[in-house]
Amino acid sequence: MDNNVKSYRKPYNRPVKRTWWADWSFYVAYMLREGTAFLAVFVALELLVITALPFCAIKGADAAVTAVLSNPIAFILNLIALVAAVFHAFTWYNLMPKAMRMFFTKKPDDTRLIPDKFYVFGLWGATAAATLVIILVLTLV
Amino acid sequence: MSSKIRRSDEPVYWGLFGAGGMVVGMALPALLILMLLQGLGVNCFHYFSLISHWWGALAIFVIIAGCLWHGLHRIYHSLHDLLIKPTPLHHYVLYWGALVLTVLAGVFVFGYYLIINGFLNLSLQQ
Repeated sequence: MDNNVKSYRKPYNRPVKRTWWADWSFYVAYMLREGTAFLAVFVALELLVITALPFCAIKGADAAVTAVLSNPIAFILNLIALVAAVFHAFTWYNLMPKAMRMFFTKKPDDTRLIPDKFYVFGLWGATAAATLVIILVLTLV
Repeated sequence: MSSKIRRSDEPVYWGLFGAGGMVVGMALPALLILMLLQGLGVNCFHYFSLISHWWGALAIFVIIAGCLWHGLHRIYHSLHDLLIKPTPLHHYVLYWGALVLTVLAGVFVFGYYLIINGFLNLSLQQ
């Protein structure tokens, strides 16, 4: 919004504390949800480092992966990342029916929406299936 | 100042954020469970066996890229909540960072796949 008209207005900006969110549980949950983004980036960087191991002068990439993953700091961060990913999934799936509203039928006089719980159950079901597939594939591959 | 209205590039980032959000919700819990078990000494996270298949390499690339674009987009839009005024510099750093790291992930993941299957005549430290 560029404006080259000179303004003498001095708007009052209410001071905001850095911990503005801490007094309301709703905003604490909101900040925790936003905070899951840092853990997602951490996991991406961790996977990037793991993938780079065989390109570095490290003997035995598989052993190096185990060494990285059993490092206490990496382990604790992975544990936090797991909790964050599940919390993210919980918020993400609850928000999905708000992001995409679908009708039951295409009939113009039928305005019934598909209930929220259909999305939520469907997405958790898909997550359960994906979890099973990933665990089986990565264990057996 | 140009009078032409420029189309916003935000929908592209929002789309990647959305796709990445799905990846984080669906794939990360399982992946992290296996990574934690591997850290405890259970031999179940067969990462390099996975990315020696084209479909495994593709899946891991999608997971890394999804996490990056989801996370860095969300961090950019959360700067305001941390009382940091977002500037074009923040935007450049976070989104170019996402792009560079995605390319790097592609090079490593598909590079490993190509080398291990003999499509590229290079050797790796195994």
